[in-house]
Amino acid sequence: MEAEERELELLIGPQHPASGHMRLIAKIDGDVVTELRPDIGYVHRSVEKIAETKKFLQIIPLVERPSLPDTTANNLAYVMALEKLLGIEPPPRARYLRTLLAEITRIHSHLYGLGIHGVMIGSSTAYMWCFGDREPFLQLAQELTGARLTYSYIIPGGVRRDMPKGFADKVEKVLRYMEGRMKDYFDIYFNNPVTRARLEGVGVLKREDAIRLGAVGPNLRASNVPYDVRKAEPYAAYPDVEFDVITEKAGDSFARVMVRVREIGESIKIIRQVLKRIPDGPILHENYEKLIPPKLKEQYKSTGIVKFPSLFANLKAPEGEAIARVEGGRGEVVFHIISDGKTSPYRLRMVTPSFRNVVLFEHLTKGARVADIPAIYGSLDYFPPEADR
Amino acid sequence: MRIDELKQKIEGELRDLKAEIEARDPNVVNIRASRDDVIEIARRLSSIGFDHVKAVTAVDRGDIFEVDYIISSYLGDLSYYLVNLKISLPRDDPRAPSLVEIWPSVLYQEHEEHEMMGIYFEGHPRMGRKLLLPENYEGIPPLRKEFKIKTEGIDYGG
Repeated sequence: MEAEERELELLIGPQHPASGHMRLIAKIDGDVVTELRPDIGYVHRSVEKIAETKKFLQIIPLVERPSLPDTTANNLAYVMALEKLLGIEPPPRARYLRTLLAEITRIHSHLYGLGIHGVMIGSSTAYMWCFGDREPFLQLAQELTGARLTYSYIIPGGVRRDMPKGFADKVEKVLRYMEGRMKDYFDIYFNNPVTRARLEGVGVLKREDAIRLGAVGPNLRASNVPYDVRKAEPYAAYPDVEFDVITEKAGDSFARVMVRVREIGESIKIIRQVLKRIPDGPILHENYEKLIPPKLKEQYKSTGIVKFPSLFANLKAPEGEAIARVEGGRGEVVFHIISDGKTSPYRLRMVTPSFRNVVLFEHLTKGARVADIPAIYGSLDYFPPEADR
Repeated sequence: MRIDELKQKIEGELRDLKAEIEARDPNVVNIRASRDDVIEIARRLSSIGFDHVKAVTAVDRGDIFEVDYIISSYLGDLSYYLVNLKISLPRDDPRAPSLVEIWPSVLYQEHEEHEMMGIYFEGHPRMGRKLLLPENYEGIPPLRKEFKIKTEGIDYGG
């Protein structure tokens, strides 16, 4: 009997095909993918619609939640857009504290992405190590903000808390530990021939395609495009610190991993500079500081912890529109807020890095082997709830 | 390059087209245009180096819909600037040409604004299909103002 040639449809997911809730609909010929379509939306939570019914301050936790391992980027970009509407700028110390938290977050977000990718290609060691080493950074963030992941640390006009006593020394200890660990990572994982074989030359994103498709973050820079919002439109304390924009030339899955790994080194550099140069002074804009009632002000002066002035709850943003962008761990976060002068936005547009990058699934898997799907998926550091919002 | 220099450059490029151009400090240039010109404007912006779209925002303005494209570049000086291309669409006929041929980076965002705001992007390959909403969803596109969120409220047991 003659064998019939045909294309098969392979449905992967939606029950956690890898790190989250999405479905991949692949057409395969043998074990070669001819077409792959990501089916997203399983964890859509209507952030943009809900934001229209919430007050400006209540929206901070709302926009943070979708990007759980990388909340600071959303918190910061949203607040920056709001501050543009309010015509207010944070004091210098608050700018530095924002950068401090943003870089601590970038490191643990990268470790999260690298760990998940590790387990996707069968290295449970990489997974365990990355998740283990993420912990000291989560603890630092917790000490600074009071929360492990959902910091809501950045508020209009400043930040909620000052650095606790002795924080800089603890940070330095963690940074040294991480620097020491990097060598182990290379010995066991990144320079492992199995890792290399799974990732090198797999899922190559050409430079012109990365630009054309609007890829962001490490995925863009791994295709040799040196775009980083921290340099393109510097915010927080980034104008005052020195660091390199990491790029790789190959554009393959390994290059994307390498960009993240090397960016951890740059974040360490930035954190050291921030701790060395952080100026003294208030952590909240004076217009808001003076709204704090005398008793709470005493508490704020002695503990460095801001209790929201109650007037804050009914914060109104003047009529107009504002756009803000931030370089998060996974890439560029864009907020576009349109205000009609009320206590809630008229329209809030939130574009996350994972939503920008989802198109890469279709592009990079064409012609790839079925077994390479997880290798490519993981290399994108894609997070379904962040894409769905 | 300063913002007013960029504004002049864009004005020069779009001289023969109907477009209202204004600079919004410090780094945003607004372009208001009609849907008939939007493809040509996009083509010319792309030819001077605006290589991708960061966001597509559809807005329900009551009597009209507005679609905002936030456009920029990954390379060189232009990466500091944002162009906000705005088109207005009549409420009873919310059609606009898709810019996906010029900027493939709008593929998913136009699709999202299609299902959430009911804008029809002509020439977009995925119109009529669902992206984030459930496949069996029918009714008012949820980002329109007439769509009200049902709140659960609090039952005080009284």
